[in-house]
Amino acid sequence: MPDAELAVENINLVYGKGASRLNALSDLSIRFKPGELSLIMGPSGSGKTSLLSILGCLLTPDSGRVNIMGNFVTGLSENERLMIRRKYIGYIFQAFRLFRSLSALENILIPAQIAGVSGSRAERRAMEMLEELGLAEKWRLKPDELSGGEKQRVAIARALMNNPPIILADEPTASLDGGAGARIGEILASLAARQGRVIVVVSHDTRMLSYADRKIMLEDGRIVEDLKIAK
Amino acid sequence: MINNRLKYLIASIGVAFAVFLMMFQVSLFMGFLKASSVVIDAAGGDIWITAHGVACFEHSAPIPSRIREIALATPGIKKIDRIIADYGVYQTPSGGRETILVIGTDIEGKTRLPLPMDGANVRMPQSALIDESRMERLGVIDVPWESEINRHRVKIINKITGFASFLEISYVFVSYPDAIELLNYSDQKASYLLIETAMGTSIPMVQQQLQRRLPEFDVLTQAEFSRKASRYWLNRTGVGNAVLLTALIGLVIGFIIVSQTMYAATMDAIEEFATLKALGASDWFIIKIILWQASICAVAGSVAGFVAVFPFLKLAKTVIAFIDTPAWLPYAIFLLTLLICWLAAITSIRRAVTIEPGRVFRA
Repeated sequence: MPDAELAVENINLVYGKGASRLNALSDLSIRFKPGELSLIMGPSGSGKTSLLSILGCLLTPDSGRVNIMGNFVTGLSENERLMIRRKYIGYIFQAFRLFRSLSALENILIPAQIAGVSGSRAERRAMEMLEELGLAEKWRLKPDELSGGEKQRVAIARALMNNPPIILADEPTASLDGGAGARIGEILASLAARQGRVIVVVSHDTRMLSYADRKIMLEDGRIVEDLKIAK
Repeated sequence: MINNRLKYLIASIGVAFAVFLMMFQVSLFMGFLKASSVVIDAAGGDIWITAHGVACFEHSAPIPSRIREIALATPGIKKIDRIIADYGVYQTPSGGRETILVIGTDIEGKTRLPLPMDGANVRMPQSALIDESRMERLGVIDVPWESEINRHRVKIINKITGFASFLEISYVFVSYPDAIELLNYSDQKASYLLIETAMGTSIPMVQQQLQRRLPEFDVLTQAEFSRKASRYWLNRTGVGNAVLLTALIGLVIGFIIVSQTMYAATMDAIEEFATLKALGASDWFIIKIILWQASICAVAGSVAGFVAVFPFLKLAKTVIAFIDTPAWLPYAIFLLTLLICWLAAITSIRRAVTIEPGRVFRA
């Protein structure tokens, strides 16, 4: 995997106009390093979700540059942006966002199908990931038949299916109990440390601090703290 | 939509209803169309001569016998058969009276109209043929059956199929001489002259020459007369249009049900479409999913519709004998249904492809 690169430079994002104008992000610059799990924290309305959406190529800032694996994405068309998302980014969501009618295996195969890859090779890779995440026995089960922790592990496997260098996770442990949350934290830390991916996690969950390499604290759309965490 | 079996069922029932209605109404329409020119189509021949302004076979007017002599002198004509079609009164065994259309054809001719013959292909005098669908109406319990037409004794020697009139009136086929007698025609006149041209002759050329020689009569090719009759019954009576309109209503109802159900199902799954877009799915990937769902509805609904309509059509044929379901009709209706389901999916597609993927981190 090439050195992952994810950075924003002097980005600004404003919601609304006139009296209801709100600076969601103000002149924000961050560079995320490969092999590092960065934890973005902050109170509600601090700009965490906006930042994650911009990093995920799902939202365009009003100004500034976004570099995803050497591609400056702000000026790209929607089609080019979806190619960037497909190729470089894996997403993990708070509410899992699994497809209810599909089995665990089929859910994991979705990114491959989107990328136009199908057949036994894709299935083998999906099964390998299920095994790695301790879900090999549950490949047939539908999301409603899985526990919260299992659902999030399926979501992680789905995020990894196309082997993206960048993983973005939005509150990945919020819906999970202590044990399941810890397991997810370990998996994400290992994806950064062992596989050299860029992992960016937005979370209110202080348990995640024990797995993070870096803590970025946002407030009113600005970085108020950027700390390396010694393990 | 697959997530919600009830919605899927509702959409499929909507499609089934539309398929049922379309199959039935179009069968009725096709049967009507066929029956409106059944005698003309069956008679064969190349050119018809009719009295001026005759719009359909059932509304004939007499042609004097000399016209046949004039026509025969036209080059390129091999043979002219006479056909008589006029109304008579049939007496049922219970003493009731039924108006019938007596159709008599030349025994010498080789028309494909039914002719009462014996086993050796010899004309049987004072005998007639009727369509089996009219037996009950004419009080015929079995054949042969003695009856009366215009107070003349006639024996119905056999029943035939494929000549079920769409009118109240039954067709009764007899020979030309019997028709003359039954209808009290004074000379050898006819209602129609059916012309067979000589091999290698240009039919339009003969038609033109005949029309020049007989300006007071209509000279039509078989196809022209057939079309003219169908148009008359479709447009002048309004029956055909009413039948087609009902089929169209079925189509519209099916479209609305599928469209609404698919839209509701798409809105239910809108977050899943947003997730797909966030994961990098192209518009085409999403369009394929919705079209696939629409196709499943079309297939499931069509199968259910066909399963219901075929026995119903069979039953209906016992009452409305002219109903006709051509072999291509189910295929055509299935393709139309598929197209309608795809069209019904357009609103859903538009909604799903315009969903903002950024909502995945907010919702």
